[in-house]
Amino acid sequence: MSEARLDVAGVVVAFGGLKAVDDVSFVVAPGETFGIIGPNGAGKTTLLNAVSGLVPLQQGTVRLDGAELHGLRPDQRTARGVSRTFQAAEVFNEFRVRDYVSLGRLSGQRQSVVGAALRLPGIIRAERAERADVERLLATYGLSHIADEVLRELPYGVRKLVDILRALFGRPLVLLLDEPTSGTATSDRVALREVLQQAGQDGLTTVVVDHDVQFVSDLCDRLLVVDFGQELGTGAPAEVLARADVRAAYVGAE
Amino acid sequence: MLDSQATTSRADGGGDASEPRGWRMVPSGPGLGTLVFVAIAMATVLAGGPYALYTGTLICIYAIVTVSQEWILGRAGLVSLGSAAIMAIGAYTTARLSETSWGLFPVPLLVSFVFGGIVGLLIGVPGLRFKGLYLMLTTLALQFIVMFAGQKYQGVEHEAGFLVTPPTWGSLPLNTPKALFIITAVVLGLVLFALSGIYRGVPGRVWNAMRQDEAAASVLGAHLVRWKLAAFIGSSAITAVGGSLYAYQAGQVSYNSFSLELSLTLLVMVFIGGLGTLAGPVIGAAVIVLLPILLDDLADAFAGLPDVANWLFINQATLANGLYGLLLLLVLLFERDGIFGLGRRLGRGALGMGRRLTTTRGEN
Ligand SMILES: Nc1ncnc2c1ncn2[C@@H]1O[C@H](COP(=O)(O)OP(=O)(O)OP(=O)(O)O)[C@@H](O)[C@H]1O
Ligand SMILES: [Mg+2]
Repeated sequence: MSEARLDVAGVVVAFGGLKAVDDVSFVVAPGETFGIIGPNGAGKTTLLNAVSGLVPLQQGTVRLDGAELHGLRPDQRTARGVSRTFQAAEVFNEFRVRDYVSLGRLSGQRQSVVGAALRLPGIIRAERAERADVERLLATYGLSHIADEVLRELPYGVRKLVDILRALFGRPLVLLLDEPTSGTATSDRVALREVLQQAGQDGLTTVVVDHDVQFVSDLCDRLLVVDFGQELGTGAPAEVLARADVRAAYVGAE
Repeated sequence: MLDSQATTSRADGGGDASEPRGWRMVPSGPGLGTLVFVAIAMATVLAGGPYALYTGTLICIYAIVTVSQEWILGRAGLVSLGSAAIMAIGAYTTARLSETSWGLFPVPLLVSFVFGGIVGLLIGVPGLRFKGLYLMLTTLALQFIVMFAGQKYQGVEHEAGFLVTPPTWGSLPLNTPKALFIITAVVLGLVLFALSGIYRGVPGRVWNAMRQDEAAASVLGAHLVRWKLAAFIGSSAITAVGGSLYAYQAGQVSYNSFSLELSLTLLVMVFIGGLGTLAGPVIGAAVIVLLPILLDDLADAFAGLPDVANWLFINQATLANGLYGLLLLLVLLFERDGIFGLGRRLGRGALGMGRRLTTTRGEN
């Protein structure tokens, strides 16, 4: 699999004595939508954190298009095209929708404090162009009417959708989604699936962690099941979900 | 790719969404009310006597410092205990330059700005590489070092401090009360202009994100150390300018004017005025300057009761500290957004009520 976009190999992450992720490997091809499922505390978020660079690895490697990400800070990984959403929608509660979405392009922006202080024309122009892009993105998903709302005041599902739009706004190579459906209504899930299917058709590589097995199975080409930090198996959704150990560990725990 | 498909939707679909809704406060830029208030305050001070000008100047100087301290405390979420020490660096720079050929105003001000920034860099690099209390400790160390070095530097010859040669432009003296007030007000205006540009742009959003969740902000793409350092260097440069203006007004610079107690008072005032706005720390600065004056007036008011007046007079400093403490407690317990937040909430309440009264009928 030399053409893997994301290649996670033999990753171990431990907190004290607890191995939250214990020798997990998976490979995601360009444009693929890959699912990760597993019971609470299985280590799914920690696995995404390992890819984003939020936790150090005890062992293993994470490669993006063949390049090792070891030693890169989270912001450097984002700049290389690894973007993600957060499991808790309340992480950035204080932003207005338009301001939060615009942060998705932080890596590519000219970030000059002096330029902003002096209101240099180049900075103002870039900012204005970006604002227009944010408006357009929000309009595409029918969210123009909430552009000025503060995230705290929006329903949980809408916040999660806004978080995804923020991540998409940066035009990532790989998008990591941590439980996009948790706390959302069924109608939100339909909208969510459309957004993700569209992004997939546009060539985005996506890793989806979720508890909604139906949602993940519909969306993904392949699934990885983890339990107690360990891999139970990887494969096509129907095939993986039929396995007895997966049923015992995951479906049984639901 | 997302953009190309987005362009097919209505071209300016965001237009109506970006329209502020009438009464709602627009977060960027000073409102009409603020401008009117500033104009009235300026006119009152300018029409007043030397004492009003002196007080107004002092408020502007402290406001320059509190506003720059709010940058690190309220935006970047960092605690510094060294603001007085950085003021001292600007003040010493100004005193020493004022008697040389570099003393032409505003050269010492600009040099102080640069020195402040350099000190910010030197203190910030070790202080910000690590999380948590490091910056607090390095700035505390700076505070002690500056006090010690200042005392040694002044030695016995300059025990009372260095004199500041009054600034002039040719035959025009710049240290008259009126000229000093105008200068400090203009500098404060420039600082507020620069900071409002910074906060409403990308940098403001990045610090806001970092304050809400540092790790998550780094995932958004923020290089945490660099952004913290930028805030600390910028704020130190401005604080040193405050120290420079302080030197011009006082006419003399001595280390004991820049104690740890001043740093703490400034920190408390930033809290009391309110974090997250530019008006908050300005209000905090006004409180620092006006509270002791009000206590003086209070002592005068009790002139008929010599015992009370005397007690007030003797305990003025203690009383002021006690009131700062009380105000801080009240802010922490009841109004996290400080005095400015309280004022804004009352203002909004009044506006809301007015709106309800005028639009009870005909709502669509
Ligand atoms: N920073 C941390 N420090 C210590 N332990 C941690 C930390 N992060 C996660 N853990 C532990 O690692 C294990 C895996 O947690 P993780 O959040 O990755 O699970 P998860 O699969 O995402 O669960 P959920 O479905 O509830 O989100 C848990 O036992 C958790 O308590
Ligand atoms: Mg999780």
